[in-house]
Amino acid sequence: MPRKVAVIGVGNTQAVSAFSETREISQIAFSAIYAATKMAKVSMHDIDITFFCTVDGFEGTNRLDRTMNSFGQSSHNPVVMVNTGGTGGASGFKEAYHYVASGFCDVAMVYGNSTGASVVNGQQILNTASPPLFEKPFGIGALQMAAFYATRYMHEYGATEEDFALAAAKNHKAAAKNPYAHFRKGYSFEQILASPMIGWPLRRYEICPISSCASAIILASEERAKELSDTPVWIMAVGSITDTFQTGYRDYIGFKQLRTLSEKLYRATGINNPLKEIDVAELFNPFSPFELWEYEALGFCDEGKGSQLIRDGVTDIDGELPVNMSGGTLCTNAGISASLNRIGDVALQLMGKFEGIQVRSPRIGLAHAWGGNLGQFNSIAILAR
Amino acid sequence: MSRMKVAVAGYATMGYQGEGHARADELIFNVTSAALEKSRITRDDIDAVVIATEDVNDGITISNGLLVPAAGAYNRDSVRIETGGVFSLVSACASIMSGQAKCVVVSSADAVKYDPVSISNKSYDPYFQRPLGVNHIVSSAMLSALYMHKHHATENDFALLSAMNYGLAVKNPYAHIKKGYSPEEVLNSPIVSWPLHLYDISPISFGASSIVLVSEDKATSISDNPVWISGYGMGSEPYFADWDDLVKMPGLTYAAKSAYKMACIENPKKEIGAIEVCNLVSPLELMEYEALGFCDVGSGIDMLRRGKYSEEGNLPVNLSGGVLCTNGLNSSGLFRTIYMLMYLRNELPSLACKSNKVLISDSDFHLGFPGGNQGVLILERRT
Repeated sequence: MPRKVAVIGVGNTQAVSAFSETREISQIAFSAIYAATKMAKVSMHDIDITFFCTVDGFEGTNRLDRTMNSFGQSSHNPVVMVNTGGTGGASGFKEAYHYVASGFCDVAMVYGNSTGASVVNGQQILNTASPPLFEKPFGIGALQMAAFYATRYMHEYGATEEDFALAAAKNHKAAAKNPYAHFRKGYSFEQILASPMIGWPLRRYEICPISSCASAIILASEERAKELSDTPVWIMAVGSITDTFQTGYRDYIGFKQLRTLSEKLYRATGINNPLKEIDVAELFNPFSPFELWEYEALGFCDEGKGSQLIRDGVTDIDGELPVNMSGGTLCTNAGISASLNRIGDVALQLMGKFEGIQVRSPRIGLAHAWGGNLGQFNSIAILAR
Repeated sequence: MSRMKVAVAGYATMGYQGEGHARADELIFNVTSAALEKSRITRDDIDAVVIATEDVNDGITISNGLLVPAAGAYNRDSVRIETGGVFSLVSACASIMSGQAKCVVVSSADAVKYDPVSISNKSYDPYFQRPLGVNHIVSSAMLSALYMHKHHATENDFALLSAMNYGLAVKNPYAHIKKGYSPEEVLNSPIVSWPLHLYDISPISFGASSIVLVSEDKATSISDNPVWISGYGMGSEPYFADWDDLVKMPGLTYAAKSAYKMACIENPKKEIGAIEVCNLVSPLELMEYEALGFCDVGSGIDMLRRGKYSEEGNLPVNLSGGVLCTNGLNSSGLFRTIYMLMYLRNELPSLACKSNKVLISDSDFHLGFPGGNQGVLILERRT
C-alpha cells in the first residue's frame, strides 16, 4: 500500500513583470523556499529530496539547478531536475508524491522556477518546441495555441467574445485581491472587451502577462505531516496524460485528453459529481477561454456548456465551485512556477490560509496544469483537507 | 533478501558510434519497441514513460514532447528527468513502488551533434566561473590534479586505468571506441588539459537505450528469474563547494549508502560482484572506488596497481569499457545499466557472470563538477 502524503508548506513570492524584475533568480528562489519551509516548520536539513522544475531554454542557460545553491543541496538532499514544459511544476509535484508515497523519503520539496526574466523573447524559444519539419516554420507560439482552440469552440458551440471576456473579468477581479498576483488592476468586462485585439478572438486582457515569481511546496509522509502541521492537505490523486507531438492529429475541439485523465482520477478517488463534490479549483488558463474547455473536460458541465457556467456565475466566489480565486495563470504566469502555483493555491485554500479570496471551508480541491506543444501534456492533482 | 518490488522486464540498446544518423524520436521508437518485444509485454501494458534527456543535448526546447510519444506515452503518464539515466530509473521505481504504475518504460537517445565544451560552460554560473571559460574537461582536470597531489597518483596510473577500459570495450559489441589503446598509446596522446591526455577523456557517442520496468506481480508472470532493482540512492554536490570536498564525492557516498541500505547490503566489497562507474575521464574511477566504499580514501591507486579492478580481479569495474569508451550524454546511464543486465543474465558471449549483485553509478559530470548529481543503482538476480 502506498503511504499517505500531505502538503504541509507552500511558499509564494510577489509576482512582477518579467521585464522589470530586479531580483536575482536565487534570491527569488530563496524567498519562495523560505516561506514554504517556514509554513511547514522544517529546516533545509529536514528535506530529503528536492525537485527543481524549469525549462532550460526559458532560462537562457543550461541546467540551472546545478548553480542555484538555494535548495540547500548537499549529499543528503539530492536535486532532481524535471522538465516537461508548462506542466513542469505539476510533474515535479507528481514525482515528489511518488517518492514519498513509495517510502523512499519522508519530506520532499518541489520548486517551480521563475522562467520569464532570463530571455529577451521566450516565444522564439517556445517555437523550437514545435514539430521541426511541419509546424515550427509557421512560427507557432503561445498565442496560436489558444487561438486555434478558441475559434473552433466558437464555431462548434456558439461561444462569443463576450463569454471569453466574462471569464477574464472573473480572474482579474480575483487577482486584484491576491497580494502575490502580477495583474492586479481588476479589469472589468467592458475594459477587457475594449482592450486591443492581439490575435482574433483573443484580446490583450484575455492573455496572460510574462511574470517573474517562484513557488515552492513541501510534501511529507503521513507520520511527518501529522507531527509538523496542524493543517495538512492530503493528496488524493495525481496524474498526467500525454498527447501526440504532431498537432495535425487533433481536431481542436476541447481538451479531450484532460477529460480522459479526469475520469481516471475521479474513479480513483470516488468522485462521482465533480461540480458538487469539488469545492475549489485552480485551472491553468493562460488565455481566458481555456477555463471554459477545462470546465467541460473536468466534468463540471457538459460539452459545449462551459460558456453557460461562466454566464451563470457558477465558478465565481459565490457559485457552486469557485475557480481560480487567485486570478489564475491569466493574471500571473511565471512559466514553470505557474503550474506549481495552481497546486499551491489549492492547498492554501484547503488550509484556510489563502491570502486573497478565501473560499469558505473547502474540503476537496483540484489543480490542473497544461503545457507542451499545443497542450501535449495535462496534469491534475486532487487534494483534500 | 531485501525488499524487491521492481524488476526489469526488458531492455534494448542499438549500440553507439561517433556520428548520429537518425532523429532522436526514431531511435527511441526503435529501442523501445525492441525492449518491449524482449519483455513480452505490449504497448497496452505501459502505464508511464520516463525520458532521460536534457533539452540542450536534444537541440530543442521541451524535447520530451518529441520523444515521449515515440516511447509509447500517448494517452499515458509521462515525465522527463534531466539528471541522468539512473535518476530516471529511480523515478520509474518510485512510480511503481508508490502503486501508481505497474509497467514503466525508461528510454533515452543521443542524436544531435553539438559543442560539449560550450554546453558545459553554459551550465556554470554567469558571474564568476562561466566568464573564465571553465567547462567539463577543465574542471575534471582540476579535480584529477588535486587527486594526484593528495594521493600521489601519476599520469601513468591514469593511463593504465584508461587502457583497462579500452581493453574491455573491445569485447563489448555495443561500445563506441573499440581501439583497445595501450597505456603507452594513452600516454602518447596529446595533453588536452593537464594531467588529462586525449585518450583519458571520453568521446561523444550517438545511440539509444531503453529499459522496461515492472512491478513484482507483473514480473513474476513474465519471467521465472528476472533481474530486480534492489536498491537505489541519489546525492548532489553544492555548487560553491570546496574542491577538497568535491574530490571525496560526498554525494556519491551518500547515494551509495542509501542504495546499500535499501538493498540490505552490509558489506559492499564482499556482496557486489561488478560495478560500472561514471568515468567521463579515467581518474574519476579512482575517486569513485573510494566514494562507493570499495576501498579506503586514497587507496584506489594501490588497488588499481594490484589489479583488483581488472576483469580478472576481485571487483571487475566497467566491463562495458565505461563512459570513457561510450558516452551518450543523455543515455549513458541506461546503456551501462543494460550492459550489467546482460552480464547478470549471462548474455555476453565473451564475459561470464560471476556474481548476482552489481552496481551502476551515474552522474551529470559531463557538465563539470561543481553542483553535480550522483545516482547509484543496484541490480540483483536470485541465484
